[in-house]
Amino acid sequence: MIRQYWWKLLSFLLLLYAVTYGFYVYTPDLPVIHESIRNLFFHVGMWFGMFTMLIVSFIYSLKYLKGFDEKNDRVAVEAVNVGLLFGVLGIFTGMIWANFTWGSPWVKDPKLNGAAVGLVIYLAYMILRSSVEDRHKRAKVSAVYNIFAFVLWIIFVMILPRIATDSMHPAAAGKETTVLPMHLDPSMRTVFYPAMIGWILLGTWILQVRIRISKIKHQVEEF
Amino acid sequence: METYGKIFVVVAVLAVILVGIFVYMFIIDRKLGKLEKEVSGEDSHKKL
Repeated sequence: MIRQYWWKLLSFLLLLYAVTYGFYVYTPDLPVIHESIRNLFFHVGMWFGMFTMLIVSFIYSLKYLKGFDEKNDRVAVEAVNVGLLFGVLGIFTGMIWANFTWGSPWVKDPKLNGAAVGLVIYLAYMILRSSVEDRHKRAKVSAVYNIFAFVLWIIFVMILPRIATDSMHPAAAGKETTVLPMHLDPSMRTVFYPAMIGWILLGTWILQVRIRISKIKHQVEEF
Repeated sequence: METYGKIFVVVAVLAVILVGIFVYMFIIDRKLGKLEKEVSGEDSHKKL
C-alpha cells in the first residue's frame, strides 16, 4: 500500500503546501504583477507537467521504434494525452494572467505563439493517429511523427522565445526579472520547486491511470 | 495567519478542492486495481 502510493501522497502534500503556504510566503512587490506573481506556483506548473509528459512520450516512441512493442506505443499516446491536458490548462491560466497584467488575454508574443504552435503540433499527433486504420502502421507512423513533434516543440516553446528580443514574457532573453526560476526570490523558491515536483507527480499519476486503463482495454479486446 | 484581506478563505477553499480531487483520484486508482485483478484473473481462468 505505502510502496504503491507514497509518491501519490507526496504529490498531494506538495500541492497542499503550495496552495496554502504559497499565499503567505514573501513575494517581492513588482510593478503591475503585484500579488499575481503567486501564479508562478500554478501556471508554470502546467508547463512543467506538460514538458515532463512530452519527454516521457518521446522516450517511449523511441523505445517503440526499437523493437515495435505495442506497450511502448500505448505509453506514448497516453503521455501526449496528459501533456495536452496540461498544455490547455497552461494556455488558459496564462490567458487569465495576461488579461490582468498585459491588458489582453492574447498578446503578440513569441512565447505565447510558440506555446500555441506547440499545442497544435501535438493535436496533429492525435489527429494523425485517428486517421490511420491499421494498428501497426498507426503505431509506427505516429512514433516517427512524435520524435519530430518533440524536437519542434522544444524549438517553438523553449528556444525561439528565448532568442526573440521582443518578448514581454518573463521567461525570455535578456529579461532581468525576478520571475525566472533562477532569478526567483529565495523565499519564493521554497514554494516554487516543491510545487513543480507536486504538479509533475500528479501528472504522472494521471498518466499511470490512463496507461492502466489502456492496458485493460487491450487485454479485453484480445479475447 | 493574518486576518487582513481574508486570503485564508481562498486558501481554505483551494485546500478543500485539492483534498477532493486527490481523494477522487485515489478512489479511481483503487477501482482500477480491482478491475486489473478481475481481468487478469479472468485471463488465467480462460487459459485453464
